[in-house]
Amino acid sequence: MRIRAFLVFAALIAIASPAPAAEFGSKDEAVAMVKRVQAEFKKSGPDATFKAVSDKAVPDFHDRDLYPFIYNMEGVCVAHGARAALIGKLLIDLKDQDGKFLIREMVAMSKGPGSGWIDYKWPNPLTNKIEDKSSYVEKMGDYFVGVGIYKQ
Amino acid sequence: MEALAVSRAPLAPLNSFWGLRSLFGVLNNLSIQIKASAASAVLLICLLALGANAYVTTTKSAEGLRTLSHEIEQKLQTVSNVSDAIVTTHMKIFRYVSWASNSLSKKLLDSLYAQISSDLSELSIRIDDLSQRPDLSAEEKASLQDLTIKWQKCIRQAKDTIDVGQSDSAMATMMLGQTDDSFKAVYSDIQTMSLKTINAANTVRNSLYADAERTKTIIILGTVLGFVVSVFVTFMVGASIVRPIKSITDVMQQLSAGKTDVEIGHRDRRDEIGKMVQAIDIFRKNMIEIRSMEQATHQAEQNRVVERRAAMHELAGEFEKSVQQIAKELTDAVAAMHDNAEAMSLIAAQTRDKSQSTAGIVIDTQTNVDSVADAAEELAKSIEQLAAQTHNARELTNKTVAESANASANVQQLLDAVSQIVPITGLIQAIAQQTNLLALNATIEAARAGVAGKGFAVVAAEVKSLAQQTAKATEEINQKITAVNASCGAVVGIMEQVISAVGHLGEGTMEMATAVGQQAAATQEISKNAQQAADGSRIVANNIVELDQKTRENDDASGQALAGAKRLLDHAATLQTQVDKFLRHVRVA
Repeated sequence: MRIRAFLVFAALIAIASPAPAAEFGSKDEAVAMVKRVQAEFKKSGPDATFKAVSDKAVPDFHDRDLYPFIYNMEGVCVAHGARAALIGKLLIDLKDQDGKFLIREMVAMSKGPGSGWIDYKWPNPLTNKIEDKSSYVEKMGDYFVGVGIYKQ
Repeated sequence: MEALAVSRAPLAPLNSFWGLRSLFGVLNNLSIQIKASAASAVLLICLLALGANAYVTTTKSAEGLRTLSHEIEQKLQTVSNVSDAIVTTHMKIFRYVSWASNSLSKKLLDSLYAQISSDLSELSIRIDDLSQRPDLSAEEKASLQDLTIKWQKCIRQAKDTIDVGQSDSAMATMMLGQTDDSFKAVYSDIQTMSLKTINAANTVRNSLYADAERTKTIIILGTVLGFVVSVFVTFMVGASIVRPIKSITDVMQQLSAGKTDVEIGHRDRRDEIGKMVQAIDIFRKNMIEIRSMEQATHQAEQNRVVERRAAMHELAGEFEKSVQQIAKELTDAVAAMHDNAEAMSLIAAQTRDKSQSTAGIVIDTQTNVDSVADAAEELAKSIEQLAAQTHNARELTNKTVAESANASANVQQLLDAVSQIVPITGLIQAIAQQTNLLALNATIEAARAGVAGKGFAVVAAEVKSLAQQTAKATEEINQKITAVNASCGAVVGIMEQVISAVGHLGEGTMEMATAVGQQAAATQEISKNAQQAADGSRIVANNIVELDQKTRENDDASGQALAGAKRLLDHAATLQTQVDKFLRHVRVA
């Protein structure tokens, strides 16, 4: 009910203020942030990249509701822009409320096509509510990196 | 016979079966002891079989129950506990995330966190314990290994969830899905195991139940079978023993009633009844034989009685004759004996009186002889004393003679000594004369010398006096010696007279001693003879007393003999009467 009320509310806001510099990040911005992480990974190596990604003070990797997350291919979270508690945890069996094994799909995407979009449910760092999310995931060495948008 | 017919009736249809007939054939040849124990043996076998079955089943049931209670039930309990704990812990994780999402106080959340951590550790231990049970099957072990791996994942995810939940309740909510899956997987495995354990328990129970049912059936069947068979065997054995015994009893009753012409059946049986029948047959034959022997014996006996009666009559006649003869002789003899006894009694009385008077005289005689003997003995003793004194006198005489001779010799020696003094006195007299002459010369010389020789004249006078005195003394000595010689001669003469007298005395004493010795011998002889006479008279006295005693006894004996003769006469009369009576009886018989 709350979620539905929130969605209604969010829709009203979207209708009321159609500004280009939006309150939430867009798909392109998400992809761009992935590329920045890749560039940083290439430039500074994994450890520095993981640190920068996990540090909320780094603006390149923290923009409104956009943040990157990096997992290795076993499904262990190595860096997270919004939820530091997850770092170091094996989340390969993580399942959203629809029953989707989202980490497994991301691993499969990275190992297979190498990049792509995956839809799932995830808590929004701004509202701290579980919302529908769509993330762009890309292989990055032995890892994959992803940045997602919350669908309004 | 009627009873026999009744007992035979129900067996008739049974006997028509060939099997039963052959069974009877076998039974008839078995000993009664074996037959009697047959029913018991059947029951015993059934009992043993039932007992063995019960033992085996009970042992198996006990083992099954032990497995059920000690292994399966325990395992089931453990599995059930693990299952419950999983559910509880799972719910606590949900509760934790829910509380975190609703921002409950940190204190409550921390308490719940601690509980969950402790629950997880405890569950790990329980699962570990379960895996290490020694009664697990290979399949169970494999599934428990699998479960342990799943549990590792589950515990990791659970911890991740509550860890994340401490700071990020939204993310913890996200992570509930995977935790849920893990718990479900573990729970499902535990449930499977629980079901399998329950199935195993049911299998054991069913097996136990089936065993119990089977045992029940076996016991019922065994009991019924044992009962039926033993009843059948008892009946058969009874029939095989009772029927022939009844017929044998009948035969025996007839035999005892004296009927020897009865027919005895069952001869061909080989058991005790067969033997009994054979024995009865022998009895019957013996009976027949004894009966014929008895008849012969009876006839012989009758003949013998007639003969014996005739012989008895004859014998009685002879006996009477001889007995009467003997009785008469006996009476005569007894009468004579009676007379003799009377005479003897009289004589005995006389003898007694005489022997009594003789005894008195003999006793007086003996007293006299005794006093003679005593006197003779005293006389002998006096003579012995006399002889001893005579002997002493003789010895004294001898001694006196010897001492007299000795004294005579001494006197002789004295005489010799005295005779030797005589020349010495002559010498002394000569010396005295010479001295007197010298003294005279000296006086003359002194007178010549004058005054100077005056002192010397005195001495010469003195010496002259001494010489004169010496001559005088010597003269006296000679006189004394002569006197001594005379005395000694007288002494020797007297001594010789004494010796002669004593010698005569000694001879007298010797003769007296000889006479006394002879007298003593004679006296002893007298004493000895007197003693012997005393002893002899004593023996005579004793004999006389004994004779008196015997005479008295003789007197009594003759009195008794007389009484005995009288009684004998009576007995002879009685004997006569008895013999008459006996003969009357014998003749009548």
